[in-house]
Amino acid sequence: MRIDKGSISGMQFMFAMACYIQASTLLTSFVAAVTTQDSWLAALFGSLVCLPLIWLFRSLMVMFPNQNLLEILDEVYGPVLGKILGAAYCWFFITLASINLTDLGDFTKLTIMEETPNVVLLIMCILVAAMAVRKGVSLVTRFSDFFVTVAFSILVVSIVLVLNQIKPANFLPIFDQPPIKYIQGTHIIATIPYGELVVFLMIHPNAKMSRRDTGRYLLWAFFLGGFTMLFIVLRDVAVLGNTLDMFTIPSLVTLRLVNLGMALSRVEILFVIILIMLLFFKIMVLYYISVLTVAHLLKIKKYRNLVLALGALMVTYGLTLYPCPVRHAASAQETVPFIWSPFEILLPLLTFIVAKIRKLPVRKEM
Amino acid sequence: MFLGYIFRKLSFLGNQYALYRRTTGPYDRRSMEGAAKKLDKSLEKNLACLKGMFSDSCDLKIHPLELGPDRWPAAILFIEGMADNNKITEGVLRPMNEWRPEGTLAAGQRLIEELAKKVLCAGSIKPLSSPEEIVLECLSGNTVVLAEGCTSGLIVGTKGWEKRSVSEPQAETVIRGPREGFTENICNNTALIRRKIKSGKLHAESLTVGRRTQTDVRLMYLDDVASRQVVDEVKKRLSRLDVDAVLESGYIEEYIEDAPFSPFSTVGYSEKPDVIAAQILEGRVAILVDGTPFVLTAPMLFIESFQTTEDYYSRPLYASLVRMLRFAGYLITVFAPALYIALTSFHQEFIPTNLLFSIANAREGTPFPVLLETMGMVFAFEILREAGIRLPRPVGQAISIVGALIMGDAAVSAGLVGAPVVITVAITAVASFLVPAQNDAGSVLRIIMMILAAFTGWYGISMGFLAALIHLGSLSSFGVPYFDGLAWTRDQEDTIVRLPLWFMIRRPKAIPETNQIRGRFFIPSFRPHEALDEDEEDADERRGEGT
Repeated sequence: MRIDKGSISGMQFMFAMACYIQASTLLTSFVAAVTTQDSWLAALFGSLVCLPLIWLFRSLMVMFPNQNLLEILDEVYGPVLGKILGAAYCWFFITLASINLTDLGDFTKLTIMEETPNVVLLIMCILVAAMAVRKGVSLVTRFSDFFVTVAFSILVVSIVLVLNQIKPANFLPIFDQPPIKYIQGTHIIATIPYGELVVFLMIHPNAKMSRRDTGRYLLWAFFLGGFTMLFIVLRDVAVLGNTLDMFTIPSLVTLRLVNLGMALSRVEILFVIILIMLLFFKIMVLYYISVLTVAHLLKIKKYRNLVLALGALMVTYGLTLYPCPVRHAASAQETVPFIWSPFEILLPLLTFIVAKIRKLPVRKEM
Repeated sequence: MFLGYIFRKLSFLGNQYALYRRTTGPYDRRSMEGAAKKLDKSLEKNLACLKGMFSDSCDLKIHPLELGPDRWPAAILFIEGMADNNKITEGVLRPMNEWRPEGTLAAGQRLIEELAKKVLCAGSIKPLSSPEEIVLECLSGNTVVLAEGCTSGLIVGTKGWEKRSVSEPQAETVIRGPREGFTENICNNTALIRRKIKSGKLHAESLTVGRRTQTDVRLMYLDDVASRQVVDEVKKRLSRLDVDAVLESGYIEEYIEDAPFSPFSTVGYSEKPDVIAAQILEGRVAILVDGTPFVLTAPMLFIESFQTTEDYYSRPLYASLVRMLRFAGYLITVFAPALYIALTSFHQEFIPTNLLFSIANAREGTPFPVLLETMGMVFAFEILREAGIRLPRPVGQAISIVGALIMGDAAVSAGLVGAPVVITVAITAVASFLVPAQNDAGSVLRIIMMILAAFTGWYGISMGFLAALIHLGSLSSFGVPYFDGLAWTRDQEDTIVRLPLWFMIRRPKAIPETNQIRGRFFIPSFRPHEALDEDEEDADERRGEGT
C-alpha cells in the first residue's frame, strides 16, 4: 500500500539526505561541550563509524526497493511484532520531529526573537510545513538542492571571512582528554545526524533509482553532509579553540567575530537565516514522515486530514518535552544517543540479519 | 489553502444549481424563440422573421432590390458599421443592379446559384438556409442576399470595420527589437504570428466562445513541438467554458488557469508578436482572442516573467547582468519594506551604528508605529500608481508631481513619516517595475511579508519566504511544474544568467515532449580566422555542419 503516490528523482533523494545532515550542524554544539577542541576528531570518527551504517541502510533499501520501513518490519517480523515495532518507530519519528521543533524554537529565541513566545514560533513553522506536507513527498524534497547550495556557499564564504582569525594553536592539545569522552562524542555524532537517516527508509520507495545508484546517492549525500559538518566544526575550533564549550551555539559566535574593517560585521544574521531554513527543512521531512507513519499504521488512505492534527500534537509535545534549553542540551549529550541507538542502529541491523536468515524478500518472479 | 477549498466547494455548489436551472428551462435559446428552422419561399416572411430575430434593431439595414427586367423582388441585409460599405457597393449592389439576364430568370434555387456564380463579386460566397446561421453570419459583418422564391440566402463576405492599425505596444516597450504590437483584430494577429514563423507545422485552430458575444478564439501551436497533453488540456478547458461573455483574454485566463486563488498568475500574456512567436517555438500554446491585443500563452513558468525579449536581442553578458538585476529587484520589491520593519522594530543591533543613529533621528517625533507608517506609504504609492494609470495622460503627470514632490516631501517635513520609510517605499516602488508580469503577486506578497515582519521580525520573513517557495513549488500550469527552470539542477542555461544563444541547444525540458533539440546552432569559433589557415574543404564542411 503506497499512501503517497508522488515520486522524486534519485538526485532529489540524495540532496534531501545531504540537506538533512547539514541541518544537524547546529547540533554540533552538543559535541563541542563534550570534546571541546577535539570535536573535529569526534566528527571525523563519527563519520567513519557511520560508513557501515550507511551501507546497512543501503542494503535494506536495495533488498526492499518497493517497501518502506513499516512494510519491511511487517514482512520481516510478521504482522504482530512488526506492528509493535512500527508503533515504536512512530513514536520515535514524532519525538524526533518535536525535538527538532523545540530546537528551532530555542534557537530562534536565543538569537533573534528573544521575547516572542515559543508557541508562536512553533505554530508558524508547523503551518508553513503543513502546506508542503499536504502536497506530498515531491514538494517536501523539492527545494533540498536549493538549501544544500545555499548552505554550502554560506560555509565557504564564512570560512573565507574568518581566515584572519584562525590560529592553528587552537587545535592544541590534541588527544588530551580521557578516551571515554571521544567515545561519547563519536556516539553523539553517529546517532544524531547520521543515524537519523533511518527516516529516509520511509520514503525510499518514492525515489526513482536503480539498485546501483542507491549506494552511490547515499554515499554522496553522506559526503556532502559530512564534509559540511566537519568543516563547520574545524572552522569553529580553529577560531574559538578550547573556549568552544562555553557557548551554546559556537558557529554563531565564530561568525560574530567576523570583522573586516567596518564594512563587514554582524554577518551571523545570514547564518541564522540559513539555519532556520535548514532546520525548517528537517522539521518538514520529519513531519511528513511522522504523518506517513501514522497514516500507515492506522491504514488511512487520505493522509491529508491527519496533517494539521499531528502538527498540533507535535507543537504541544515539543513545548512540554524540556523545561529549558539547558536540560535539552544535557539530554542530547547523555541520554538521547542511548535511546536513539536501538532505533537507528540495532533494529535496522537486526532486521537485516533476520531478513538474511529468513531469506527475505521472497522473489515472486523466480 | 483552506480559503481556496471553501471557495471551490461553494462554486461547485453554484455550478450544480446553474446546471439544474439550465436543464429545466431553455436558457440561451430564448432570443431565437419562434424562429423557423428553414427559410420560407416568401421574401416578405423571411424578412419579417429575420427582423424579429434581430429584435428590430435599427442598425440592421434592409435594402430591397428588383432584379433584371422582370423586377424580381430581392433584398440584401447587413449591419451598419460591421460591413464594409465599399465592398457592398462594388461587390453586391452594383452587379445586381446592372445584371441583365438573358431570357427569363431562373426560378427558385437556380436563381441563387446563378447569382453566386455570375453576378456577385466577393472573396467568399456561400448559400445558407438556416435563419440562425444567417443571423450569426450577418452579426459578424457579412451581407445576406435573399430573393423571392428561394429557400436559401447567400452570404457574401463583406466584413470590414474601423480598426486600429499595427502600432507600437503601450504596455511593453523595447529599445531594441521589433516595435509592432498586436491589434484588436484576430485575423491580423494570426497573420502577425505567421509572419514570424513561416512553417506549415504552425497549427491554428478556431473556436467560438461566449454564448452572447460569440467571440472568436484561436489556438496556435507548433504541431511537432508542443506537448500533446498540454494542447489537449488547453482544448479541454476551453471547451468546458460555458459563459455569457468573453470581452478580453483576461476572461479566458481566469476560467482556464490552474490556481485561481494564488497570487501568481499561471497563464502568461503578451502584446508583442515576437514574444508570442518565441513562446510558440518553445512549445507553448498561444490563445488569441478577438477584440484584444493581449495574447495568452500556456503553460507558463515562473521564470518567464523574468525573461524579456531584449535579453535575447542584446549580448549575453549584459543580458545576464540585467537578468540578475531583475531577480534582485523582485526580491527588493517583495522584501524591502518588511526588512525595514523587522530591522527597526526588532533587530536594531544589526544596523550599523551610524545608520542606526540617523534612522533614530529621522524617526524621532513620528507619531505612528513603523508598521502603520510603512503600510501607509505603500498604500499611498498604490493610490498614486492607480491614479496615474487611469487618468488621462496630461493629468497623470500632475498626479505624479503632486504625489512625489508634495506628498512625499511634505509628509517628511511635517513629521508625519520618517525619511527612511519614504526612501524604502520609493525603492520598493521603482523596483516593482522591473518585473511587470509578477507585479500584482509582488504587491500581495509585500503586504503579507510586512505583517509577518511586524509581528515576528526576521523569523516571520524567513517563514514567509519559505511559505512562498513552497507555494510556488506546489503550483503547476497545465501539468507543467510552475517553478521549473528555477529548480537549481536542470535547465540552467536561461535562468539566473542568459548563456549565449548557441549554448541553448535544447528547448526548456519542462514544456515540450517531442523535438527537444532546437536545431544545431553554429557554434562560433574562438579563433574566427582559423578557417583561412586550413584548406578550403575543411572549412566548408564545418560551415555546412553549422547551418
